[in-house]
Amino acid sequence: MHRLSVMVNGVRHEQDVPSHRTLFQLLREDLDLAGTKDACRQGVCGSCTVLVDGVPMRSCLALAVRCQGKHVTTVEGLETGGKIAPLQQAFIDEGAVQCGYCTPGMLIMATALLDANPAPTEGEVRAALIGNLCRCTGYAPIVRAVLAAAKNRHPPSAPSSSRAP
Amino acid sequence: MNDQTPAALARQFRYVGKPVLRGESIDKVTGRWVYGADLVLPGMLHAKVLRSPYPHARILSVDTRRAREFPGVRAVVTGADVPYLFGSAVRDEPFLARGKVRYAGEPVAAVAAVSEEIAREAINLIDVEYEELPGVFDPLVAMRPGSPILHEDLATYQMEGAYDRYPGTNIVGHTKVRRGDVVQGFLDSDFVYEDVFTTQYVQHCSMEGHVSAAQVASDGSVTVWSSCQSPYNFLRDLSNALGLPYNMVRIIVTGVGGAFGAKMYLRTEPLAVALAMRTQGKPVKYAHTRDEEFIGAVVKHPAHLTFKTGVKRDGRIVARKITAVFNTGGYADAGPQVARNSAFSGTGPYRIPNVWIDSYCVYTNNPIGGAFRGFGVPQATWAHESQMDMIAHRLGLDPVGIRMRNLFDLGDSTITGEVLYTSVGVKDTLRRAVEVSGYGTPLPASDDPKIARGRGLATMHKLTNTPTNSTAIVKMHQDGTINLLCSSVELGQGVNTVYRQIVAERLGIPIERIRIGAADTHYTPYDQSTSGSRSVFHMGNAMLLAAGDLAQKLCALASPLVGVPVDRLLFRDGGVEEPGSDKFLSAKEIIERSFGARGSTVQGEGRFAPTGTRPPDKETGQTPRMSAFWMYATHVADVEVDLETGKVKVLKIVAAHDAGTIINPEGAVGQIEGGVVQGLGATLCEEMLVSDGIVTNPSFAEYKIPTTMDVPEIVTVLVEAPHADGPYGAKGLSEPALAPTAPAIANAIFNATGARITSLPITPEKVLQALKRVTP
Repeated sequence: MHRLSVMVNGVRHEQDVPSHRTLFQLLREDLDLAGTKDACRQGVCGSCTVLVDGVPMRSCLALAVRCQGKHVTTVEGLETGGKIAPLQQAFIDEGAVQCGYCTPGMLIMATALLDANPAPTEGEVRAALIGNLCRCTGYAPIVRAVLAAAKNRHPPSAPSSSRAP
Repeated sequence: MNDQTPAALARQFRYVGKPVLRGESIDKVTGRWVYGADLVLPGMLHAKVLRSPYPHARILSVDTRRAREFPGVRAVVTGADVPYLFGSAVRDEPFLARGKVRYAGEPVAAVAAVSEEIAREAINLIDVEYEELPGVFDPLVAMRPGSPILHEDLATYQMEGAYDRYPGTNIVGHTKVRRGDVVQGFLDSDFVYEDVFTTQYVQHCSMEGHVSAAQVASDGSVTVWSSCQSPYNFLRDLSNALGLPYNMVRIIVTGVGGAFGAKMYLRTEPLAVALAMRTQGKPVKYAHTRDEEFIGAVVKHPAHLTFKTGVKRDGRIVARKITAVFNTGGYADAGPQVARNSAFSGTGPYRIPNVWIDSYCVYTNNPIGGAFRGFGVPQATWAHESQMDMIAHRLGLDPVGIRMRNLFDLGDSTITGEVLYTSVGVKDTLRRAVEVSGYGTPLPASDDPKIARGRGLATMHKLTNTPTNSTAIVKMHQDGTINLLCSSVELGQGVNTVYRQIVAERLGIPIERIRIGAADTHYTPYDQSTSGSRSVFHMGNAMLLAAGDLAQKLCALASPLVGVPVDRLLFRDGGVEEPGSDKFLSAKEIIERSFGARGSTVQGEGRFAPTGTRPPDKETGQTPRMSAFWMYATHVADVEVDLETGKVKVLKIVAAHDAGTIINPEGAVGQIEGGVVQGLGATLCEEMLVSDGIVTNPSFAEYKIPTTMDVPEIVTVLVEAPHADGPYGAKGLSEPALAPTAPAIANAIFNATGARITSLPITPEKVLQALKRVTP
């Protein structure tokens, strides 16, 4: 057992965890954050992606103990002050959500992309999401949603240097 | 009101035909939507299943002692403990293998423990002794006399009456179509061509795998929570298997993370129930791992299709004979229905006077073939659309022209003798797809001499399982808000939103005031299944009837209150009015004044089933109405073929669909875009490899579904031929979205290179081999 201290969505958690416990298990089973999904448990499908200190990571392959002192962001952490993020709204508006099972992982991956590259091209969006599988939408509306969110976050007429959370 | 075109009708509508955002999306983007995988129940135990490593073997002994004694284990069960059989079309499948195993991956024993880890460790402590039996893996061999028999008891199984079965063989379903005189038809033809087409194993790859939980109460009643698409199928199948009355079995549908046919019939549920019968009331949850999805769920049937077609010199089809063999693996599951549907729409949307079809569903020692978006029709479409272009080429005809010569018009008869009386938009799908894609003009050549470019098209039709029925309840509260009760399942296809639109339109109530919940067989009324593209037509009609019934009831309640005979009252804009007067009572006022201020609810009920249906004749397949409606589609594919590597790149797909009136364009486009990409995967990259019954690529790392980088530009075209009996003219849409994609791509490859591929998937190896045949 290790005493783990980790910030998840801005809240500090202190938890005893065995060394083999994955971040995915910690989030879902210990912290009741069931928004993070898994579809393969071998790091291929991207459904379980979360941000660790801003870097997207497959939570099914990451050990919880490696997150000591780090900041983890899950889909539940994308809302601020009870308001959903523009990216989440864009997913709704563009019809990027069908069954929705891949959506949390897609949102996290796209958040990481937009943080690093606020005005991506369509090709850059597709490249960033290559490791996130979706079986319902055919990806087109997801790509549209990310591009629309980028536009809303950084309208071309009023470029902003601030990075949205 | 004389202008009945969809565009004119849409102008009259407030909700129908308008893009409406889905109500449930907000919970899905915030991580709050509760899927089966997310289910947590008090005291819940976790199940793991020991599966057979052999495709065909006798079970000599199962020793579970060490597993039972393992700390944390609460129940262990084997086939010897549960004598039940299930199966929707054929009751042939035990909850766990009894006596022998018929495919590698068949459940042999199951464990319920306090954690998944303990359950996993415990199944490794179970010792099973097998005696291997000779297996049969090729359905063409399995059909022959003298092959190893999978089901010695086939004659004793309970079975739906629609299919012929042949005890003593592996043939569990045989569907026939006989029309005209096929022998004379071939004699009357100028040319007769026979070609063979094959399709591969494809797995559904729902992002959420199969998952369920079961709990058994003290009185023996069973509650099942399931990520499934057919709660009443599950209720019927499970109640029948357990010998329990229907009101002692309860199916509660959780959020569903994709289904595509795979979640139509029982799969994890019998195992969860078998364990839950031994845990003193503690619920047991069983979730497939991804590799279990590949080896132990269901897959799309590989098909072997022999098409013999007689044509006149001008391209008119005179006769067609089809022999189709569907490999259904160890158990029937949906196999007989798949083979049946494939037969009944097997010749495509063409007028053909002389037809002879034999469609067989055959047991083999392979993974189980189940329902997969399209139910056997994509396999048939692969064959008839590939052959159509092959015949056009042989005759020197244009692929569009040969189709236009044969395609259905209003009033034509199908091969099963049904007169198409409404909504035949197939020629329009072809015309519009050609127009939008520029099919007639060749693609500009690539600068790279290694790259050949080409265009191809394919057209199809699909029936829906008929007759089926749906019941809806529209429940109004005293404040005038509404809950819709039905057993359709929101799988991601958007039905919940469509039903809200239909009821909002009918009652003139803002859509925000209409909510819809999940199916629960204790409370929501009967629906056959959320499958076969049937929901909008059937449940949509039931919703329309239920809304009308509610309006009628509110008018009847209002009549004495306003002193106006009920036949002069109308329900409109959320209340009852007398047209021409200023008399208006809101629903709230009606309910309060009728039942008191503490209120009540008023329910409208609607039941819909298509009329004029009759089961097809078993010997000929003839019936006056095979399908409640027919869907049509044409796809055009633009492709590039690398002549050195054989790699095919799809540049663009134009997908034109006749789904009748479109209720929600947002949802419709989503179904088509997603379907095309599934079709693309099944054409170019997906194949579950099965070697002597063993799946060799059971993971997303080895079985490749399309990613963001594999998807071409997709242009959707909605062709709306309103259906006379559809709710606001709507039909269905989902399944055809993936069916024409594969032959359109194969025809484009032929157009580019002269190489003809007749076997799916179209791998670079097959393309190179085919290129060698063209230029030796």
